[in-house]
Parts: sequence; C-alpha cells; structure tokens
Amino acid sequence: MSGEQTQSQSQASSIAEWLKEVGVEAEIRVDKYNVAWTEIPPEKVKEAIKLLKEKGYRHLITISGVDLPDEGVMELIYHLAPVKMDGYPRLSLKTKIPRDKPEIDTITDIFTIAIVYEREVYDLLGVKFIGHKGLSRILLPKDTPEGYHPLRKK
Amino acid sequence: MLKKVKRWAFKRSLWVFHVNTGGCNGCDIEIVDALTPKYDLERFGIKLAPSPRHADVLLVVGPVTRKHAELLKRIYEQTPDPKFVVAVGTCATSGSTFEGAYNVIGGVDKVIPVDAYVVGCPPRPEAIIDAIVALVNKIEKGEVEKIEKA
Amino acid sequence: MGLYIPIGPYHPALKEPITIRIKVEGEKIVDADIELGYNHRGIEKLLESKLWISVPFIAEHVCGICSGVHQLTSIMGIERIFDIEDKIPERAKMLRIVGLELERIHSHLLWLGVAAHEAGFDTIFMYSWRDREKVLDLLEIQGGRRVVYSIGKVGGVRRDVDDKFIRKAKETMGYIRKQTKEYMRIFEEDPIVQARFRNVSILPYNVAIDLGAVGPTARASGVDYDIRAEDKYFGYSEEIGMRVAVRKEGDALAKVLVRLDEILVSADIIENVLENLPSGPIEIKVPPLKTPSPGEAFARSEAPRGELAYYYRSDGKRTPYRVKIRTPTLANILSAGYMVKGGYIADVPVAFASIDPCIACMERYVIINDGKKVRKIRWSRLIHYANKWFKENLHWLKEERVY
Repeated sequence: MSGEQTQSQSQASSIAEWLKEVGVEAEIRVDKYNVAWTEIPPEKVKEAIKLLKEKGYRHLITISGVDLPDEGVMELIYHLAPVKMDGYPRLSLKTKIPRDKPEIDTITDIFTIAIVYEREVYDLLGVKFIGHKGLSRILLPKDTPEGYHPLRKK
Repeated sequence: MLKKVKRWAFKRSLWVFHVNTGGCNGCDIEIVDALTPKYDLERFGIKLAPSPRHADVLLVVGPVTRKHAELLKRIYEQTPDPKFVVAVGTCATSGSTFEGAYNVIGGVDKVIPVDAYVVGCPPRPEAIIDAIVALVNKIEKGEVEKIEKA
Repeated sequence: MGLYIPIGPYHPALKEPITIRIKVEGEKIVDADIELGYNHRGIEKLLESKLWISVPFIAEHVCGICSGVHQLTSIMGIERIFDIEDKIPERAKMLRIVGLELERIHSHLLWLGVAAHEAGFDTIFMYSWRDREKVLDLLEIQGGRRVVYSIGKVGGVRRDVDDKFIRKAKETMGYIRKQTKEYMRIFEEDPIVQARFRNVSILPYNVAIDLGAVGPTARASGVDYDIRAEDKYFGYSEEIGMRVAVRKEGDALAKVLVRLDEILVSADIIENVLENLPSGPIEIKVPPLKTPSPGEAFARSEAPRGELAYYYRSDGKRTPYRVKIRTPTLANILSAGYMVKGGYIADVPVAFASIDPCIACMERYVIINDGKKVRKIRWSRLIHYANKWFKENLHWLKEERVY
C-alpha cells in the first residue's frame, strides 16, 4: 500500500512540475482510486491542457460543469486520462469562473471532441466557450428560449 | 354479415408501427424480440409496418420527451382510421422514473388517446404479444366500437 | 459541405431535419451540427432531487441494452462518495464481472443482428438473436429479469448464484463460443459479406485518437485502450482472462471482428471467474446511506459501446449536488460523422451502424450533399436502396474490396 502511495505521490509531483512550466503553482491531491484532483486559474487552463496532452494525457473523457451560486462561481472540470503512462492517475482539472459572466477559452483546437462536450456545458449551464466555431445547443431543442439552462441552481 | 367480414379482414393481418418517444431502448428490443423465432409474432399475422400510413396499430414506447410530443401527434394523425394505440412499457404508461424530469411529458396518453397499456420495465415479449392478441380477439368478438361503427 | 446524417426521427411536416452535419475546413472537422434533443430526458437534473440510494435505480434505465454497466458504474461512484469501495467482498466483485460480461455478450450479439439486418443479412440477425436468448436466460437467473436485470446494489450484488447456474453458464459459454467462431468465419470468408464490410468507412488510427473515439470503434483502428485493462475495476485482470481485442484495419469489418473477439474474451472471463468463484458474502452491511461527507468522486468503466463515465458531487445532503454522465455514443459521434463522409451512399447504413449507436431504433432521414446536389432519403429506403445496389454491383465490388 505504501509503495503505491509513494508512486502516486511522485506522479503527483511530476504533474505539479509540468503545471509549473505554464506558470501555475497547483496542489495535486490523488485519492485512493487513483484519480488526481487539482484546481488552476481559468486563464491558464488552455495552456495547461495543451502541455498535459503533450506529456501523455491524450484522452479527454468529458467536461463537467457545476453551478455554485453560494460561491458566485461556476466550476468546470476537465476530466483527462493518460494513455500508455504506466500507473499515472486520471486527472480532474478544475477551474472556477464567475457566475455572472461564465466564459472561458475553448479547447477544441487541442481536443476535437471538445466540440461536443463544450456545447453540452453551454446548453445546460450557459457557459460560453470563446473561440468555439459552432457554440449552440446540442441536447435541448434548438427553439428553447435563450437563457434557459436547466442545470443552473435556483 | 358485412361486420363479420370487416372484423375478419382486420384480424387476418395486423400491421403495427413502432414509435419510440425517447425511451431507453429496453422496450424496443423486447418488441423486436417478439419477432424473432423464440416468440415469433408473425405467426399471428402481425407484421411491422414500414410507415404510419400502413399501420393499424401504433406501438408507442418511451416517456414522451417534449420534442417528440409534436411528432407523436403527427404520426397519430398520419395513421389511417381505424387505428389503435398500445402504450408499451411503464414509461409510455406514466413516465415511470422520468416523470418530473424537465424534458419529459410523462405518459403517451397525455398526447394521444391510448387503447391499451402494457406495463413493465420492459414488459416481456410474451406480455406484448398477449396485449396485441387480446386486442385482436376483442375485434373479432365485435367488442371494439371503432370497427363496428366504421 | 459534408454529409448530413440524422440521429433522430424526422417528419416531413417539420422544416428542420435532425442531422449530424460535419463542417470541415480542409480535412479538419471544426464543428458538428448535432441535435440530440429527441432522446434527452433530463436525467442529470432529475438525479439532483433523488436520494443517493435511488440513483442506481434510475441509472439502470438510462439505457435498456447496457443497463447493467450503467447501474454498476453509478454504484462504483456512490461507493467512492461514501468511501466503502474497499470493503466490497470479493465474491460480489466477481459476480459483478459475470453480470457485466454476460451483458457485453448479449449487447454485441444484439448489435451483430441489427448491423447484419441493416446490410440485408436477415439470417444472421435471426441466428444471433436466437443465440442472445440463451445469454438472456443466464442474466434472468442471475438478476431476476431478462432486460434491466439489476444485478448490483450499493455494497455488493443483489443475488447469489448456485452450482446449477455455474453449470448452465459453462454450457452456454461453450455454445456461444462455437457460434461466435462461426460468425467470425462468415465475416472473414464470405465474399458477399466482405463486400459490404471490408474497406468500408475506415477510421484511421490518428483520426480515432484525435476525435476521442472509445470502445470497439477505436480498438478496431488499432487504439489499444480498454478501461477494464487500464483501471482494473472490480478485479478485472489478465489472470481472469481479460485481454484487449484490437485490430488495425479500422474498417467496418474490423469493428465486427473486434466485437466478436470480445465475445470470446467475455466467455473466457465468465468461465474463469465461475471456476474460481471466491466464497463469502455477496454484500456488506452498509450503514444507512443517507448523507455522505461533502466531496466528489469519479467512476468509469468499459460499457459494450465504450467508455462510460460518472462524476458525482456531494454537499453533504441526502441528494446529490451534481451527477454527470458521459455515455460512449457521445464520444463516438464525431467519428461516426467522419466515417460516413466519402464512400458510396450505399455504405452509409453500415458505416453508421458500425459505431453501435445507442439511440432508439426509429425512422431516420439521411440528406446527402455531394457538392453537386442535395437529396433526401428515408433511412429504411436507404437500406433498401443500398441492399439492391449491392446486389447489382456485387461483381465489381468484390474485385475492388475483397481481392
């Protein structure tokens, strides 16, 4: 058990080192299910994901959005997985954006499949992904009234 | 005499059109299963219609998502009289666990009139066949107004 | 410019077709016009108002074909939120694997039948669905029902199995193995089948990675990635017979063969597990699952169609704060759009079916825009046209594709 702990700790420090390369000081926590969690500022997300992909985190599982009205933010979680990197944890990269202006740069130029996931977050939560070449609803009917984003908390 | 001929003609080959209004596919695969050799719906003279215009019976599945509601109405209107609607599955009957979800209307009878409900999540192929055969028997016995009056 | 493929029903009275329209700049896909609204039920929001303990019961109705993996993945996430995952007994974990692999077999046989039917091979459809019934019999014994068998529960599995089940399972696996090898032989040798599937809708390795394809769709293009082998959840390992089925051709034929190969792997796993089933309880006594501590959990698994992911957020209340579900078909949708581009119109049914789309089987329309004119054709018509076209052109198609 302790052998695994040291291994996951050393991997966590590798990830922390990579994030330093894009100018981010982040704390990485690896849970007992080999999933790493960390939070970085929104303006660093695109660079960080580009670097992580180059380092081997080549699979974008999905992008989750969580509405946190009590904190006045929306949280975006980019779920990444390593490909052929023995034992490295899955990574949940979190970031917080202001709830009254929920915007962030698109990552569709890094992960093409983000075209679909970003549209889903836009549709259900109203987050704008700047630079997405076709941001529109994907699950709700196209004639749904503007401003209706059902996963927002009241 | 004419009534008996009408009933007999109707009963001899029933065309069913299968409509999914947003279900999980569970009922769909049990309906398709009813056509496979183990259950074999075709021996009752029941066939899958290629379009609503050829259908006698609409087999409707799913809790009816909002976007499907208008479609379902139009399919119902496109089906020529006399027609029957069988709501297959608990979702089609009442919306099941999805009742209350923001994109679900919940139950086919909130959109079009339903003649028979086959409850189950999903109902077994035997139950589906049973429902259709019961409907057919009722037609034969002259217990179905729509045919008698046609 | 591009190919329009609807993934929902379309009615002539409505003005807007429901389509996948791929927008390209050069060869690069920059946008995909997709509307999935027909089947969207609003499950994620619904789960925010349900007790934690109710979540698996709703999750298993997300998809009727792979209800088992939805239920067990949702349970995996809940067991992580409540921090009881390391207490699940070995026997329960192994029985979960048995249920999941039986599901994989039934799902792949179902797909085989549907894909064969859409290509005009109705005999294969009837045979594969007949074989599938035997697997459903086993699922019915293990779970209690033949569809939505509800094998798992938070803390373990609902029902135990006895020697009678083990004997019947072994017998069925022997039969399934024999049948599957026969299907493989047909697909590898019959020239008419080959003409429909070989070199059709190729998804190259780089494109599969770039578009985030998952499951057999990706593995048929040489992507050696299977969540069972990556995460080894519930105890999947090489010791119990797990191996990743990969092919490199990337065409529709490879996708068929990968799935058939996976059936053989599943049969091995089921036999190995039942041969060495650990004794012990099938569940732990869980404390009343009312309120977990605030936190979050991530769970993923290999559903028959590919990677399935659940994310949970808890704020310490009796209902989840957020549940996010990412189904494999969503991850494969761009690859589907890529694969139907180019090639003959008659190849479209097989190309689209090859991702094993988990969408209701309903009437669909295809709009073909080949740069010169736009045509609209009903899906069933398209299949009919495709089958007829193939019969007429088989002689030279065989030359082009098979020899």
